[in-house]
Amino acid sequence: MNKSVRIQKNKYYDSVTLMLVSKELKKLDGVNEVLVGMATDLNKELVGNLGLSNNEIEELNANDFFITVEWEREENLEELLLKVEELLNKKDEASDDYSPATLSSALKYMDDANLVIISVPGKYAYQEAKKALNKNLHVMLFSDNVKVEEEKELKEIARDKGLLMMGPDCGTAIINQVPLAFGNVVNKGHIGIVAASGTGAQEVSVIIDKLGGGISQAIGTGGRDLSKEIGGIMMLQGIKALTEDEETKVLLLVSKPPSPEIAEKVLQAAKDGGKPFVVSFIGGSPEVVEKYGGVYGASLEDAAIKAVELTGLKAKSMDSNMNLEELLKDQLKLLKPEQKYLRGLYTGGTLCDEAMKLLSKDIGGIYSNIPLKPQLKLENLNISKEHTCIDLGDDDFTVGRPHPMIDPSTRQERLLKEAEDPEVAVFLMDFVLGYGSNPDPAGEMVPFIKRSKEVMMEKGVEALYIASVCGTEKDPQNLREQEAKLKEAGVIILPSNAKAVAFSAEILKYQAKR
Amino acid sequence: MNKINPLFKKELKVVNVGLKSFATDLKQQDIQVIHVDWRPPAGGNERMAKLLNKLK
Amino acid sequence: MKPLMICHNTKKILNSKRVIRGRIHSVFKRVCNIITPEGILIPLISHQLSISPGGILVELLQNQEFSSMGFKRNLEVEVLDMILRIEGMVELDLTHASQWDGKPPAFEGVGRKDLKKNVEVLRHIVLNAASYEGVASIFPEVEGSILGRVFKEKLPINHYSSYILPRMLKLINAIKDGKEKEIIHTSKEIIGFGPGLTPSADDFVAGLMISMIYSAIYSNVDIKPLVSNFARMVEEWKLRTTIVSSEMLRHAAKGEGSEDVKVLMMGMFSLGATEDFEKAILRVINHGSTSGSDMASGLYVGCVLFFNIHNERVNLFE
Repeated sequence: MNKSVRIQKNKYYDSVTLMLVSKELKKLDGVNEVLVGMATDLNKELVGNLGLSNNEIEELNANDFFITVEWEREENLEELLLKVEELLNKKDEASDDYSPATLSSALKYMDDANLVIISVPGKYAYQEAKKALNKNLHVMLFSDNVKVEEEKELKEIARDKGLLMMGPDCGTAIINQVPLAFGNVVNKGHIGIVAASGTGAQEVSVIIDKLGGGISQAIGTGGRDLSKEIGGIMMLQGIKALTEDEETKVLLLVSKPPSPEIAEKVLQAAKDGGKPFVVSFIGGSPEVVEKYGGVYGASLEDAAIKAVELTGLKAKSMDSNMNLEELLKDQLKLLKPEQKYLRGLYTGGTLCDEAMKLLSKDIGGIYSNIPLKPQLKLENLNISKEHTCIDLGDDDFTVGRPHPMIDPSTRQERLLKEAEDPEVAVFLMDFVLGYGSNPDPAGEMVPFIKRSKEVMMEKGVEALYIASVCGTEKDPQNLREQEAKLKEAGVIILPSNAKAVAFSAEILKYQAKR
Repeated sequence: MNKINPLFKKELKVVNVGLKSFATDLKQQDIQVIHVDWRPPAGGNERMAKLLNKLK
Repeated sequence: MKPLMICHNTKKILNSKRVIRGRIHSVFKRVCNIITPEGILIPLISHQLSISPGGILVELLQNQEFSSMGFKRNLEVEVLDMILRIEGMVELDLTHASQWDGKPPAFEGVGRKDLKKNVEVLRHIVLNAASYEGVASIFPEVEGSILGRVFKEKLPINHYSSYILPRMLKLINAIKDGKEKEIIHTSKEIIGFGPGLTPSADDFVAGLMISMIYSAIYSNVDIKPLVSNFARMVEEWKLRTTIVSSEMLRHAAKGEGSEDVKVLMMGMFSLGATEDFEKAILRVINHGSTSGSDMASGLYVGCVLFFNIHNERVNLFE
């Protein structure tokens, strides 16, 4: 057992710093006991009682500051002292490092705040969001597991006050060009997005950027907004706001197919707004959209292209130097006839959903944890069969661990497992970049892609790896660098999920006939 | 009263309650953000939390 | 930097001489303490906090902090004809700052029922929102001992709270008995104990004193005996704690606390001020890292103790 003492004569630290020092030191490996304080007689007595005192401490007076630590391993000493130094100096950093414990106290330090991002556990989220709304602050509620009644109440409050209530379960928004939570850095422009799906919003905003267009605002609503219970409150408000927004020339609405009456309400509002609008009700049908004068986007990519064109720009080609037919021919040579199946390993739920919807008409039923039809639900979520597409970001896989966009380990493990199946022809993946996501999603996956190839090689087969990277060159991960890493590992990269899906469909159709 | 369109014309000033990384990301982009070191109210005791919220 | 408010006591001190020279004693983000040669502490307080006894509340620019503005320990401070200068850095004209007084104002008391409700609210909030890293968590035990009951709440204990509890019980008994000698004797084992620049036990005792004095005013009981005992106790042991803390205790012995504490006390005891009561409690609790919690815990216990001494517990705590 060792003791270490650090003393500063006549030195004052605020109590927040002192508490921080004491807490952080206790976390260090091998540290048994920490006392931090002013050397008053009684504090010295306590230190003595705990056996942590020495002559130096005995001689201090009430206005001296001390830290005394009992630790088990000598080699920790340096680490310990460094840590203390670092912690004590922390208080000199700018004020924005101050973290109050409540929203109210935060507002004392930033009384002109205008938006609150809330990501506390679901059961507390309602209260926090309500507090924020009551203080006239716009809310982005990232948390899920909020009750429908609570969501409705929050959205009604927000509507009455003219505030944004994005979420619950809102993963993405871009307000005033600032990506919030999971969002990409995209060009400024004239397309205003209202999206009930986070990755849906990411995919359309990124594609718009790749096409040379730009975003005015991207408002998230949360996945349940267009349900009958909620009635599309936030989407209706979003449409109204974007209608009145001078920067927005074209509206782009993204959602899973809503309940029909809500869909009509939303479309009516978009029509009334008078601006051109594009709708991607992923997997929905064009008729109802067109009835209200909207433009229908068959996929997220299609919706993005149409929106860009409606702003009067000519959409840039995203895959100019790719000869897909040649590539397809080459790749097909690698496959054996018995390799017939798809394994889609997705981190983005909407992208997974879109993949299944676009693929089903070509390749038939796809098993999943989020299947299009109940009978296609995987009996055991850990065991794929035939065509399988998995949303690894669904609750089934995220209990007790971070979302796979942040923590790639579920997909890494799953890929190795899938590689055991010699009947797999295509591994289809998404890589979502932007703020919030893993700093290097491609780099994290590459070693596992390589290992999975080896596993398949041992069985004498080779599968195809097809992916799209949802990101831009302005994202912190940088689209080009991420793509380069994947290409290096032999992954075929397409510029959108829809294109990756279409390419996979060609392969799978061909293999089915062999 | 519509406060959404006025927001579009203002500089974003964010309070982040929960995951710290969201605040870090914003800070990296030079957006003014204050992070709330949130803890479950009433040390996780839900009944008390509700009570406290009634008070506030 | 603009002066907004000045504690009237400080104004009196500064007015008493043409020139007062001092130096900067300690610098924090939102507080910069000036100390006079007589050992009186005059805190310059950022408007983001509330003013406290002896202090001068100043308006800082947004995000400005004393610690990053070049304020340093030992810089010379001079107050000449109510103009405060800090070594060529700052010049504050204090003549126009409004006066603030931390002492308990005269008030019309709330009804007994409302007081009971308020005391319960304070208890609930302390129980649930306070930080227990100082000594705040001793209050159910102390309360139980005062009322002769056992409370089921078991709060987290730490070195500080377990060490201080038996000593605090002794002090409480001494106050109950009103014996000055005993109060002084037992408080020796308390003052200056615990983490923080104002040691936790001091915060608790400060809260206890302030709350007892407000309780006495509410009950039309003469506060002089209380105030005199407290003043003796604090004076006796002022060197056993930090300067910042002994100054706090000195004021608290007269029932003076920060504006937040005053608002809390008025919210609890006075008629027509209940609106912001809960917020006031939370503001007090949020002060510092454990200080506010320790003080709020003391505020609660002080009230329980006073009404117990004066045999009014039945209606308040059943």
